[in-house]
Amino acid sequence: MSEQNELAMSDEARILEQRAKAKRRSRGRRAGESEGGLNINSMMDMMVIIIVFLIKSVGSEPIQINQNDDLRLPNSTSTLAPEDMMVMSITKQWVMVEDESVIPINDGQIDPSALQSATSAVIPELQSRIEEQLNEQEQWARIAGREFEKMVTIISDSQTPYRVLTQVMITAAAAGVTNFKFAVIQRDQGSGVMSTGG
Amino acid sequence: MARKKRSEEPEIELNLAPIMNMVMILIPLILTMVEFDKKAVLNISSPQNAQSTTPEDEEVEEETPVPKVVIYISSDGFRIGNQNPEVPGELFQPFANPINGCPGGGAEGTTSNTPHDLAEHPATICLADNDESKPLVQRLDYPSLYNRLAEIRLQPDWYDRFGEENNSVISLLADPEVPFEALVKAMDTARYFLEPVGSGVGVPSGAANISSYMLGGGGRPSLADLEDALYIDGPAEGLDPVPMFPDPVLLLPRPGSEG
Repeated sequence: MSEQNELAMSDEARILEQRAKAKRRSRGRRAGESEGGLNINSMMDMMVIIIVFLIKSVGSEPIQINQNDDLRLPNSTSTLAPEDMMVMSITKQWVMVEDESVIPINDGQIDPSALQSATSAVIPELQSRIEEQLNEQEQWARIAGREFEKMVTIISDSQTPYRVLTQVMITAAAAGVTNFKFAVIQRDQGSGVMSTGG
Repeated sequence: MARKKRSEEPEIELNLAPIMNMVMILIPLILTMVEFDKKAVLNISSPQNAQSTTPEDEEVEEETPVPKVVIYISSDGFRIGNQNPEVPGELFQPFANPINGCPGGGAEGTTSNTPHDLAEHPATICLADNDESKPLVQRLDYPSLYNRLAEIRLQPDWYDRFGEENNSVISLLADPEVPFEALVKAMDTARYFLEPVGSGVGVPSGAANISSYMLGGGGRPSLADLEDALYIDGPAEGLDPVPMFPDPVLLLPRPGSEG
């Protein structure tokens, strides 16, 4: 008798289980929720919008500067926008052309042996590297049918001594560069926006 | 016939886990790449460039010669000089002399037309702060530099001539050890006209009252005077400030003079 009861009970239990499963499944399908009930629709919306915004800002920067201890730009009130052109960086450790480190800087000085002579401030290795880059860019511009002006954007650390700066500029001028632009962080005059006085 | 189990409808449940993974990784990555500071550039002509673009003007003899202002930055202050040999030395002398409160006031300032000789004369604008532990850019007296430059710029004889494109150039020379930020700040100081706090002056002209454009109201101005001054709205529409010396040129140190 108890066996029959047990069997009946297990049958019932089985049926109850199946019904519960079906209910769960259908409930799940109707509401569209995954297990646990976490509704991530709104989070996904937010993520997608943030992603689109971030990709847009990263993609539209004409020059990308990663500031770190070796490269801290000075502040300036200049409002000229950067343009897309060849880039040279002067950090505390290196003089770089595009992403390539070319000349080391020791203790705030470029090694005098890297200079062309005692009286000339031109650095031959740097000059040849600049000329290579300029030629490459000129070819690209010719293919694209654009006019090409030999200009360089110099991204220099704020502590760069004037000596190093002029050596780099003289070398670039020897390589044919006619115009320089120095990258700075834009800040406003005084405490706030540019506005009229009285 | 065995009853076929009704095949489950191929309901496709969108598994968002991989997309969320990608998004959770992309966002911090791109956030580190985005620079929240706004970048700008300074347009500086190379020295050779400046010389070649100055046209050979034959009619200049009729017009007033305008000084080509040179700012020489060194570790003991600013020196202001003139590179145009046509401007009589005595005419420019008062602007090269040391300001009140600096040593050498009253002594002969520089009349030299070679910027490199400026070092031989006492500083036109000595340091505001002699504390050696602070960086040079914090010790230089930029507000007084602005005053002296505004004074030169507003001189009635020269005011209109400075406004011409070729004459708005200002040259900068510095000692080899001077950091780049000191030069940038000097260029900022020289770029636009400012309206001193509480003065209510408008767009300057050749007939302007020069002392009303000086920071600090007559005495030696403080950094706060420079920082709190506002730009003056240009005469044309829009918010372009009135330029003072907007075109900087960097001069090369004399070759071999490493110091």
